[in-house]
Amino acid sequence: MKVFVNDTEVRTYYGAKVKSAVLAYCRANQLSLDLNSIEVRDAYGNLLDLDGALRSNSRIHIK
Amino acid sequence: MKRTIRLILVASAIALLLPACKTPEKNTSAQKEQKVYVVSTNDMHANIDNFPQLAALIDSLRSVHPDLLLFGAGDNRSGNPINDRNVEPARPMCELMNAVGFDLSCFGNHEWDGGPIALRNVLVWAKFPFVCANVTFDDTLHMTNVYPYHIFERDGLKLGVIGGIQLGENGLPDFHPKNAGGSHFVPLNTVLQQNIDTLKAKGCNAIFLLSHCGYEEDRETAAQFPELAAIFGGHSHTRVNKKQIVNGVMVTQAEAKVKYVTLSTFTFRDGKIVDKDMQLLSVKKFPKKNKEVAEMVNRYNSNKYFCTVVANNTSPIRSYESLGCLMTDAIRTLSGADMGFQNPGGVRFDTLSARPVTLKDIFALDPFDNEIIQFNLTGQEIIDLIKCCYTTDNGPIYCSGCSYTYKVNDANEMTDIQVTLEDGTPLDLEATYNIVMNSYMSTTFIYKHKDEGHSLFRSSNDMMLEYLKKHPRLDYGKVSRVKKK
Repeated sequence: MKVFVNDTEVRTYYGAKVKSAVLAYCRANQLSLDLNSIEVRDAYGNLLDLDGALRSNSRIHIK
Repeated sequence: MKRTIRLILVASAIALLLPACKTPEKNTSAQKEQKVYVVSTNDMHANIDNFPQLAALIDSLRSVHPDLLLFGAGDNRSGNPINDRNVEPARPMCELMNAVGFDLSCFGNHEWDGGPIALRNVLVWAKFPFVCANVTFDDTLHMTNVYPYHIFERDGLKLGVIGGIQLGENGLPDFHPKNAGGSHFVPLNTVLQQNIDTLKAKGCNAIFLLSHCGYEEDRETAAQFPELAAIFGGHSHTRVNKKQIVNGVMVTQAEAKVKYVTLSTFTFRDGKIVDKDMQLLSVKKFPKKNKEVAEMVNRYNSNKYFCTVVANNTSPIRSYESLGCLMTDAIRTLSGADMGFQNPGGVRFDTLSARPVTLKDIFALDPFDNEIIQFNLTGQEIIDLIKCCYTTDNGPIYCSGCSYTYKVNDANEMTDIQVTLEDGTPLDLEATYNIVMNSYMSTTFIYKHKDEGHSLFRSSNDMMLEYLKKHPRLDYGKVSRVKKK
């Protein structure tokens, strides 16, 4: 399915969690991130747990 | 004296947690003002270790607001083998929720992880009802204690709470389809209005939704159904730490794993809501623990059940690869795939003597709870996957349903990969094969492939345990399927 991480389209498997999308984004962009220290937020600015569920076209932001 | 100090401490703790909590206003006119307090949490995922603090926090809040309601928005289980692999799966969480005094829960997708019979047991053990308006069950399942909605009465006010669960693209919640057995789902928005109308007809002063649909869908629901007073949500593990109103509906969620709860306050005047507010409270920061609940948690954590023998290993294993072969055999056999793959970094020990294998061994071998993902890959894509694993995971991928040989060039890349299928034929680079791997590999390995895959919504260790039930005699000591030329 398609999700957006930092406004970049990421393709991941159907049923993916936040962590899966973040990892896919990092791999695609050759980023090395410590999952324990990053902050992931949804399109409304709420913090997300890495095990949270995503759906198609979800938009998340990491920093 | 000690008691006085303890009371002061508890009062101070509550004061710290509730900096903005208003004291009830005095009625200055004929209008009657009442407040209703709801504490909600979601996606607890059997994080039982936080329950002593949760219980103490709820005790403290109830000492101030004895009528407060405590709701769980689904996914009470799945995430801790102490609960999920208990001899009676999910019973510890049920007993803890009973002890803390939950008033209501909705279903999460993970409530089905043990199948419908395990779900029925949960409904029997729970001393609180479950609500879900968009599921029905076959009569043969004899489900009890589950309703589309539940009505509470507080100080003459009628409060209706409807339950709802998310559905994926396949029309089912995010669980393995085989676990549905006799459960039938419809989209929540097709039944919500009729339930709202029913609750209005029954004279409810306020109608709430206890939702396991995810924050984004909850906002869409709020936009579509403004008659809801609030949505207490779950599923997306979203930390809503300030009041968010969508079309007049307050939408909340308290992240996950019993780290937080949401305290919602509804002010009624003449039976109608005139104000709503919420605060996110930290469970981990609460300074007290409930002793009785702590004793329960200690008892569950020292459960000897995890020494239960699940297989007998007949030949000593001394390599990661042999155990990787066992892991891939489990996921391939149970999924019916042509091949299964496992990254070397996901096999957590390499030595297993000839002895009985316990539940503890299995969770030590594969502690990650990765889900299994199914793909249709061409032979060439499989070659690329094998190459990619060598570079990404610093070792050759372990496999089931095939074996392979390879060389390594000066740049430390795999070359000359020759894959032979189980029937002795070579891998056809043009043909498409059904393969399975874990979700870690699915997301971190970058190789060329067309199919995006789909989750089986089952963890690898869960599939391993089911495999061992059918294959309890292990003989992997000499099993090797990968050879460097």
